[in-house]
Amino acid sequence: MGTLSRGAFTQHRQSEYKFPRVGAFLNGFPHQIVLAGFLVSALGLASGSNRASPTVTIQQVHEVLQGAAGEFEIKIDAGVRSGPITLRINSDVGTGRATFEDGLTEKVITESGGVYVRGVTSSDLPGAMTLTAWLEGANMPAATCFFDVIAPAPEPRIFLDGIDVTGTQQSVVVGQRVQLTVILHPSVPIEKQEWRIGKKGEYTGGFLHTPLLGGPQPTVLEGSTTAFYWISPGYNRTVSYHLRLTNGVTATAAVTFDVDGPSSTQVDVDSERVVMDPAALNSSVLGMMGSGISFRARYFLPEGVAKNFIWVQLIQSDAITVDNNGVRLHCVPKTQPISSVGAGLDTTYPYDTHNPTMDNPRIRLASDTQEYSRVLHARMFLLWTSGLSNSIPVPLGFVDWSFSGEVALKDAATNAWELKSGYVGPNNPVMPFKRAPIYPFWTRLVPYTEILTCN
Amino acid sequence: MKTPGYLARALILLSIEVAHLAGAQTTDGVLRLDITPPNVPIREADFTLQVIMTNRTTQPMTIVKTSPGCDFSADVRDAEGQMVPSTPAGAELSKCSGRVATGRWIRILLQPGESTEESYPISLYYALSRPGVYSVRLFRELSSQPGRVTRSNEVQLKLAQ
Repeated sequence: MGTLSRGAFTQHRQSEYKFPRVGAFLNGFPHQIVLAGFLVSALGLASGSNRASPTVTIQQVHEVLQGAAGEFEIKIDAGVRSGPITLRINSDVGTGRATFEDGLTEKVITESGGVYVRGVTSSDLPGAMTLTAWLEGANMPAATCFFDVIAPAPEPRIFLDGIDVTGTQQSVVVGQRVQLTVILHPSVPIEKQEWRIGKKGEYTGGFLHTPLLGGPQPTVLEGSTTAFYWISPGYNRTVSYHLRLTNGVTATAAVTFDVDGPSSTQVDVDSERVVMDPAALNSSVLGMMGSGISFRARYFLPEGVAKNFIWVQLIQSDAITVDNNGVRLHCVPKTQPISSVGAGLDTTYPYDTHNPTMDNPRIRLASDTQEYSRVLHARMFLLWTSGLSNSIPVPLGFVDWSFSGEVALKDAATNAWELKSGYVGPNNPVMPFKRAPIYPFWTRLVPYTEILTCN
Repeated sequence: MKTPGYLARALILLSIEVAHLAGAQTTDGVLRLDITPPNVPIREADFTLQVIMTNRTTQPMTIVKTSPGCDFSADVRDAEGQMVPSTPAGAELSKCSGRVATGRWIRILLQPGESTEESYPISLYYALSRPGVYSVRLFRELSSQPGRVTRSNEVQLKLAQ
């Protein structure tokens, strides 16, 4: 729009150029409405001719309202040459539309006078519409006037990826970025703009996952734009936009979403028993048999959707007790930053991307120590991602599980240990998986290095 | 200008680590490590490399994924070829030889030709604080052949401002 007008100016030798006229009042709008009508005229279009061309000026007399006529005054200083002049209404960008009184966008005049332009749909971008005057055979307009079609009351339209989706039903998949925008004419005196999105817990503003910090992000619900992600499947979810003007006038717009994604998700948990690792020869290890505890996701996925599952494990507490020659130390794995209970993200994000995944927390047993015990509580989250660009993983649910083991040294010479007690398994053996769209949240990392924090 | 204490310690640790790698025998034909660099400049403060490990033998191979800082070593150099020191956190996170307790423990059986993916949060371990081009190569000890390491391809990371 702006580029076009500037280009037109530079290609013409201008005799007149008025800046936009400002200051009309509209019914229902207590504030000034900026009318982007301004005037351009040109001389000597017939380059190389020794005849003087007429000078044409266009001036907006009355603003163009949606559903009503506005007026423009056309002045033709015929000079030596005369002939018909064609007026054209154009809308290069934006939603504004207008016609002449006969419903056409082109009109031929032969003398100065007023013309009426009827507003069809209101403008969202200022100065995006033009009324131009063309001499016969010219390839540039002799005059250009920029104007807007002003809505008598605001009619917000919701755009998704540049497409007007107001009042429509859209299909998306969980985790897909949804950015909605309403564009209002700058003259609209806004007091408040607000978005209302389904129910809390059905959407998020994002998902942050760094080693030291992770969790859902807030959604910006005020302003002309909102961006969010649905995190659970569902149908007929309405997102509405609410506008309130300074004069108390309100307006709304809405769009509905059908959200697809994994459903009927379950996680089967199998755990081996706690043992001294038989594979360790020179040093004993307290852990679990074989692969330890395994988590296998079962699910129903819509056709054509990828099986991109992500596991994330949070350590809720990890207490290690060491009895060394009568001195009992209570330790936790050193976390960053330090946590008194050894809680945080287990090692890395993601924990794993395979299905099934597993875990087998272990303790290496040193023969100069008489007793060890370990009690670990963890929560394994299952997430899914569509793999679409600009998409985020969404949570499907989690399994709370625990490991505990207590051993005592039997023979220091052979590093032989006795297992006094041991348990591993889900905290709820009947229904280990809790289906819930809850993101993992962490502010610490449990890297499981060789450093323990003891007291 | 005095070198901060943590930086000096990190450089010493790095030198020890590189000396360790230099002394280890590389066996690239057993477990192949592939890193794919992003083809656009990296702008995130937290950046993770994706590593693909492929069994190149004719026998099934067991690998165990624990902490990336323990499972892998890295050679990270700046555009002048200078070694990039570990971050204080990275130096601590790479202390693994005397681990008493482990957390994440995933045992995978790779069939011949089969691959598995792993993440390596390089910005957690190395001070890639300045914009520029860094070269990165990862190393991993073969659990079936202690003392022998396999190395990845070398990739260039372009860090934007």
